[in-house]
Amino acid sequence: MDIGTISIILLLGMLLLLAIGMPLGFASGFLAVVVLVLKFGPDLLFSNFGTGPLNILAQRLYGITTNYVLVSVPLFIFMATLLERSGIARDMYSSLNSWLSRTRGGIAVVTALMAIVMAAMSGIIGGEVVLLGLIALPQMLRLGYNRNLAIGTICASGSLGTMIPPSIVLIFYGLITETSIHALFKAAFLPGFMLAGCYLIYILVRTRMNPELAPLPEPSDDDMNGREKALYGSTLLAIVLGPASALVILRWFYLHALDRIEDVTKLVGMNALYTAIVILVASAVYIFLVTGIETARLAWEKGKGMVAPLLIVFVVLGSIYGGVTGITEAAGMGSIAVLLLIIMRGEFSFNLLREASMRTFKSTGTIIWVTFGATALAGAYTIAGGPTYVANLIVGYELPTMGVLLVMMVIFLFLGAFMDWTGIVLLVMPVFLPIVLKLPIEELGLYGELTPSQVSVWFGILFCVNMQVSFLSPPFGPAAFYLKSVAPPYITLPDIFRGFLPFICIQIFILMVILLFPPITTVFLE
Amino acid sequence: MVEHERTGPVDLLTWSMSRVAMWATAFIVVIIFYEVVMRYLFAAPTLWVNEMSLWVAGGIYLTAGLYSMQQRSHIRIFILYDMAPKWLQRVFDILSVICVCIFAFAVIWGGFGEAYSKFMRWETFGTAFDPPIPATIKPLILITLVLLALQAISNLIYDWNREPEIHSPTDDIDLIPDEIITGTPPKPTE
Repeated sequence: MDIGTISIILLLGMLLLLAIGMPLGFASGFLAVVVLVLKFGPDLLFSNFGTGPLNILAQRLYGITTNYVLVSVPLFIFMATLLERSGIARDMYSSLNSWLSRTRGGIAVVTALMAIVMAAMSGIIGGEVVLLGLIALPQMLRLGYNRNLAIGTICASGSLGTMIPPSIVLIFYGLITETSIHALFKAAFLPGFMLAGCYLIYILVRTRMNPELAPLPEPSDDDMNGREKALYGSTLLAIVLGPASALVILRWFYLHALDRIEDVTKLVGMNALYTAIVILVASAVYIFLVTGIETARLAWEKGKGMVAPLLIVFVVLGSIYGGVTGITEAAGMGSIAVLLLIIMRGEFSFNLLREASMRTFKSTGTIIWVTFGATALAGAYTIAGGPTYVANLIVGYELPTMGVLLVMMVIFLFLGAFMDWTGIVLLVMPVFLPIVLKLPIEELGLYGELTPSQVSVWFGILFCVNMQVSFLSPPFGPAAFYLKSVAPPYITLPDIFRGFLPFICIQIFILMVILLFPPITTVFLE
Repeated sequence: MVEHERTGPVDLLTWSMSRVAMWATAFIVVIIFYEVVMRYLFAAPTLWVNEMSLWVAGGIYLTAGLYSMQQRSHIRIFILYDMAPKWLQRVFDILSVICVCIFAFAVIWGGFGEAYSKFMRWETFGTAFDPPIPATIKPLILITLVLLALQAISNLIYDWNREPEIHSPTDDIDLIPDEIITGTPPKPTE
């Protein structure tokens, strides 16, 4: 049978099986068998038991099972579940609150900042929205914040987990398209923080234009004035920088003593040593002679809630960007960091570990088996010649390049409203990316050039922003349901979706910016 | 975490496997930590951690899929399914189970020869540590698929007379204990 007919049968079969509520992974696996039967005929396939073209299925499953980067997925899930079960997030919230509560729109800003930090720690959403909904929503409602603003802030910034690296969406995109996940994480850095920055700007501008949206809390004795904030802030900086530079110095002597310096080893020159000593001395002088121990203690009280999460971010992102370890090891180290913090906070119990392990196990099973099914289908469809056929079909029409891309974005947005991101990246990407790679490269975007190897990275980031929209878009935006499960009963689903509107506009704006100016994604790439 | 109840003899097997395998993630975390400490503090990187985590993770993926099947938590789209009357849902379920079985059958049909010979030759990964990943994971994939098909049939039988339930994306989210939100210390558990 020719590949055109097979493609149509495949598409219809997929729609049918998904509609009847068949698990996505097994629907794909079954359709992989269908594609092979249509391509080779049942006689050839089932003539010899134990061998034949059907072996491609087992081979694809084995291939994905032995992929080292995939190991990071259960580890990231493990880390996120541990985080959700600790008070680290709550302490960060109260800490940020004491600094920003007297600012107009301060609680919304605190919510967004907290979401950004949590997004930089782990790569999944769900727990984050629930956590913010439990911690921040009651306070914003009590203060009389505009409900739409409060809801939108929580869900939009709570969804950043899959945009700001590390991101599980990008891990799967990289796996399925064989793009470097390191490059994807580097490329996502700027767009992720642009999106987060736009949320913050939106909150600040709107609450200043219309102060009624965000009433200020009653002044309390604990409030810091501007001078105190500057004093405590600078003291806190000294408290963090001092030990950090002490560590650099220790490491310097340790490495030099053992003679373990290689060309790639950083911070081992004389300059680094002198700078670190100067910073250490300056911090010590500032704490002990200028501000005094008592102030330092108070500053630590006010700021310690922020130090722990930032430490985790440093461990995870530092390992990835600093090139210290790979992504899998970064996820492992992040989990260890969270575990150690939980033990230090006295929250550790066997039950907590057991619950987190069990939740991780279940979530891993769900997400990995969609991958299994999809990889089997992609394998079968590829040996049937599918992706090339579709790519040639689209390119053959000689449509305007940006038109093709825009249509793809619309398809992503549409699918995203009904389907989980896992399904989209695994089923649609193997067809879409070959098309994009065949488009004339100089016509991609309005401004700036991409090199051929950067195209798939850029497209991955576009996809990732698209999935940000899908978390919020009605009728099935998961963020809305996560929030609904913890919001007071009088907040209905339509209320929640109404709150999303301005944030969806911001997301689409950023999507367009990245689409038109591809170099935004390549700033940090070599 | 609220677990879906155990419904049949197949579930017993699935549960006992997952009670062991669910600890494997924590095990990987520990050995990765060991590796990083050995490499950066003692300049003595291990040979075995990378491949060990790969091997163990392979076991996690496969058994976790089985557990998710027992928990009815595989990713599905419920839009039409939840609207359908019970008899139609039963038809849908039967179709789904048949498709799962055909998939499992086809994978085993195509992959049995290779898995069998690799197991008999005890084929190893061909590296310094050299774990028998092909010899174990390849047969394990096929065994898992058999169990998955059995689990799907078992679910079909035991869910036959179950009341229809409305699904929502929050089914995948745990309720976070109050003490985490309010900041009161957790009660000591015996």
